[in-house]
Amino acid sequence: MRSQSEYGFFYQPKIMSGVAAMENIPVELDGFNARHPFVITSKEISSSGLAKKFVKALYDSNTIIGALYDDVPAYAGIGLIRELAQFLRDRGCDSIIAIGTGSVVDAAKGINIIVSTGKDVLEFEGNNAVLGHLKPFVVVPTATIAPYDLTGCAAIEGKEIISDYLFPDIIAIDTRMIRGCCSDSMRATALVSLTQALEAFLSPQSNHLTDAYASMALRIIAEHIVKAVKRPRNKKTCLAMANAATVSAAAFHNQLPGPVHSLGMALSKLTGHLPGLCMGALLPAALKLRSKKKEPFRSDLLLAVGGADRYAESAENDRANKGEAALMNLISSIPGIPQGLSSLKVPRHTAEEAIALAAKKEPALKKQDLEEIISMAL
Amino acid sequence: MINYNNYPEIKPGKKLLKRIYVATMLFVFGRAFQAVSRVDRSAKEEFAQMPDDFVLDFCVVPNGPHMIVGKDGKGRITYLGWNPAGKKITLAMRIKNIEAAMRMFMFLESSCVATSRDRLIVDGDLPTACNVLHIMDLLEVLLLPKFAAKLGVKRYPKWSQLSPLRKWTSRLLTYVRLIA
Amino acid sequence: MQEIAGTSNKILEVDLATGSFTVGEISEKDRRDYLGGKGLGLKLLYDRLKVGIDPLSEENMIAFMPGVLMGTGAPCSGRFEAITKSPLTGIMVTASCGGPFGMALKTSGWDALIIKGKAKKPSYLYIDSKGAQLRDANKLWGKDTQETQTLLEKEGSGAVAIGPAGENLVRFANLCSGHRFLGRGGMGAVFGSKNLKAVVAKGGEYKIVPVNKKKFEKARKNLNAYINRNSITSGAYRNFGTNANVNLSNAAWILPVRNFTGGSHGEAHKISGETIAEKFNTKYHTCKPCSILCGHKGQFAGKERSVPEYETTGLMGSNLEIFDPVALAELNEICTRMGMDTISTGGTLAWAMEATEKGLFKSNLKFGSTENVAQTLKDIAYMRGIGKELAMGSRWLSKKYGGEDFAMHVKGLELAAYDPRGCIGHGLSYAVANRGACHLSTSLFTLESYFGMASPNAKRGKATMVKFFENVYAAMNSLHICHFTAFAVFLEPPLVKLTPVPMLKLMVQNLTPVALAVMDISLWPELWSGVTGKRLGMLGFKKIGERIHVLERYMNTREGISKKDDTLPVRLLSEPRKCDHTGKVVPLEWMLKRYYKVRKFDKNGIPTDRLLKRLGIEKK
Repeated sequence: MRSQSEYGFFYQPKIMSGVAAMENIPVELDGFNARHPFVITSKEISSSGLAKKFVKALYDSNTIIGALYDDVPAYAGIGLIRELAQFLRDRGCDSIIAIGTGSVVDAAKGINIIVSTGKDVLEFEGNNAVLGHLKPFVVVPTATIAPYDLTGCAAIEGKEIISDYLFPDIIAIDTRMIRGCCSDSMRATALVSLTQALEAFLSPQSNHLTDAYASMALRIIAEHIVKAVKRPRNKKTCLAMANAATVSAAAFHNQLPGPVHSLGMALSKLTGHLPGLCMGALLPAALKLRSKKKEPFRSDLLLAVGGADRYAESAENDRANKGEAALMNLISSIPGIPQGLSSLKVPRHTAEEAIALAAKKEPALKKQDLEEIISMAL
Repeated sequence: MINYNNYPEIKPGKKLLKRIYVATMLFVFGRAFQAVSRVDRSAKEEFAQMPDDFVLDFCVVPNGPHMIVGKDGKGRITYLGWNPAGKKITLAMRIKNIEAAMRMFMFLESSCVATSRDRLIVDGDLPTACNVLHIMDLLEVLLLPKFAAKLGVKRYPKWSQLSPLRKWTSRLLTYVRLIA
Repeated sequence: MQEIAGTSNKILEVDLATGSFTVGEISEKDRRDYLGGKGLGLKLLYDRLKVGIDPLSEENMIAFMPGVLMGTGAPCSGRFEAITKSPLTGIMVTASCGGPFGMALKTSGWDALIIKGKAKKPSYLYIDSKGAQLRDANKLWGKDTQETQTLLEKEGSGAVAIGPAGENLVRFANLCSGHRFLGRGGMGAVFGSKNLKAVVAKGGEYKIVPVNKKKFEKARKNLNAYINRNSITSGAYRNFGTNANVNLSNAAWILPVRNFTGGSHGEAHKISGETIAEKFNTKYHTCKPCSILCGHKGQFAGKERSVPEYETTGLMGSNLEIFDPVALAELNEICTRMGMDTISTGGTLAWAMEATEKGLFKSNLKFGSTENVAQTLKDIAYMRGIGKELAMGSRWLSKKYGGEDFAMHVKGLELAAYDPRGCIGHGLSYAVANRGACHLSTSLFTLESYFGMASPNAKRGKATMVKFFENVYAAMNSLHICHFTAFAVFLEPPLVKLTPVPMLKLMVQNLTPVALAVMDISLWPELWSGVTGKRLGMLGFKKIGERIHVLERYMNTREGISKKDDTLPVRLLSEPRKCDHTGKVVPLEWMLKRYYKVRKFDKNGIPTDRLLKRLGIEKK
């Protein structure tokens, strides 16, 4: 498969990764003429001391934190987002910093839409409804960062708002913040990154730039995923995985979501399992379906997953097959990866609901494919 | 309803010890700039390439400390103190935060790595900034013992580049001028 | 009339697809290990039900279990239990009811009725001592719960029927027997999905006599004396019904107001039991036989109506900010006739009102307005207009439209009318209760907020308390005896009665395991022992309770339940109430961890193999 030479591509954020990355936030915000950020995070993050580390990182700067709201729950509803937007206005803040992932980042995007446009966030449901620059928006990811969070998508009250203007302006991946807590959450997170990078890589709409990002993300993930799950508190692997998420976000945003992502999200919504686990359970089935349908894998998959040596050793015709084998090998070597949907105890009728949900959300996906993936995974 | 009182404004605190350390280091380096410009051959060459109105402000944003070094009327490099007020800065090299400055001045990161990690903002003539970095590296080589300087510089000069005789002479003279 | 000594141990299994039935026997071991009622019903379904089936498919089964004490004349024993897989929650649901069907089934000679399959056309089931007969329900289809029962009156002495809501598969449709309900979890929809309109039992064919009459009589007398002495059972509930809770809850800030955004309301007294009793000339309207007499009916605007129970008043009254008792009685009547669970209906309506307010959902419902509510209830029952979606319950709605933070349900079952931010132990109980947000699994709010025997805001000891009460109530529901007898059994024995309340509180809060271990609940096992003639002590009773609870939990974990589901709505975990200036929320994570530990579940909330082995539950 050849990637397309005619395309559009967008990726915005300034990314700072590594030691003392958070300390750069004041200077970077200054570049946006913002000195009074509104910080939101969740209770877990603040109670594990990460919020304090963030505040300390801003010492010796001119940045006054308008408020550090650390009560964003795992599900941030529209009511909370509206109240927080009002809070931000009342405090006169000029920028938003989200420390964390998932609902925190979504809430921050929602707040940003309200305070920047003056309209309600629900008015912007759908693709590219937000037009115009928003307030400076910083994301400080924690261990459970998924590519999805770092793109221009926000999921608020189950509705998706997608816009290039929703991208974070600054992403500060700091070694102090990205250490995982346990294998379970790390596994789920890593599987989301893997799925999104892989689907971006194998997508029929891939272009040169998405290829560059997706294959790089895959390389980092292939190198680190097993270690990250085994040793979730290792700084280096966590940093690598966070970077992989950031890199694959670029590829992910510029393509349509693939079947595993869509089904995984739908299943997660219906069953309450973490999205990563659902995607992990579906991923082998989706790959098997691909080979069953005789859709060839790209030869550079081996380069991304197996490394340059194996790529160079293999004959040109063999590379696609070997790449597939290396990928399957990689997936099965992830410790504790769910073995099909039955290990997650997903009944057939729920899986069927998920198919309907995914097909409705992503009309571009073939329903028959989704059904086959599910039946193989069951 | 959100109780606003539970989420007060947070004013940034101070990192006093780190500031004192960085200020001291900057003071030493400032003096050393002046000293090395008079004793070392390669430093002299570097300084000679700089324009005549050269005034460098090497500082940590946003609140300092600063190190101001510039050419005086006679074209000699002089340490001009820590207050940038009233001085016409031609080259500003700003370290983005005190933590980055600490990493540089504790020699955890070389100036080169720091630049690659985006810790410096340069405002002014880029070749001159490169000259300054060269001199910084040289200064570290001269001022510090080898094990420390190795961490701080991009490449520790070989014998062929810097003979021990020249190194020790320059080191001695720089220290004498620094303290005197 | 023939006599049954103790229990008949006969199971009637009916396959609706063919109309045929088989007769089975309850083994001695099962009877001893699971007592009867809820426990035994769960065990029977555990042996029969496949994992992962759709609750509305024909593979689902529903079991009816008349209590062991039923028909013996034990106080408040006129209750039966139904067990099935819930279409609302997707997990096991058990419900208890005081209607006449239980007695009719039991005196037809059956200790269990299991219904499976799906009838080809709308039918109802007739049961007598000879077996079961599937009859055509053409005349009954479309009729409400009361009309249906009236039409079946001649055929048997007790029936259980669905209304239009059940026929239309409203996910929280209930089963009605007399004027009492198998309320929660949508059993009506299971009936509807099986094309089954009603089950009617002839009854009166057998007489039940206890095996050990002496022992039974002694326990019966004691319990009767306790009930007649206790201030709740013989005072508040007897005079004002369960609505006596309104004022108590309002004072303790646990009354749900405006979809659980507030804990008390200035107008709550208008719908309290005391006011209703005074204004509407209430009379008894209870289960039979009963010694507490909590059910009432009254004259509401010239019409005789059941007085809404506290849960109805809380969820459809204060939670929707409706403080008009006449309107409330009217809404209650509609739910009664349509056959819908008032708790889930109230919870869903409150979600709809708030979602409408926030712009997530389009409806003409508004907090504080009775306008359109009655019409919406009928729309739900007939699945018309927005009713079609409201009928799916708040979990489904919030997943579709958003607003999951204020969809007040746990595992899909809507919260009952006690706000756990005012009694956090009860919050834990909601989160871990097997059937969802069930107030009856521990009823810890009584201890925390009504009697002041445990501190409502202390986390310590709550895990142990929840475990204890879950076990005891699971066993109690297997006897089966009315939940309210717990007031008498717990509070009236001399040790509790004579100890001053502050002292009790100190003990319960700080020496929880000891305090709970010395509580005398021997009356319940004695009653069972008297009826069956088998020995059962207090410790054995509690262990059986644990076995039943863990079995139900284990059945649920096979359906995918784990720690991720043992949670509370986001609102209760993160949003303080307006009335509460201290800003309390439920510290669930802390308590949950300890609960799993005392329960001997693993970190993910799954019963360990060792625990199952110890309790003699065979792993499948």
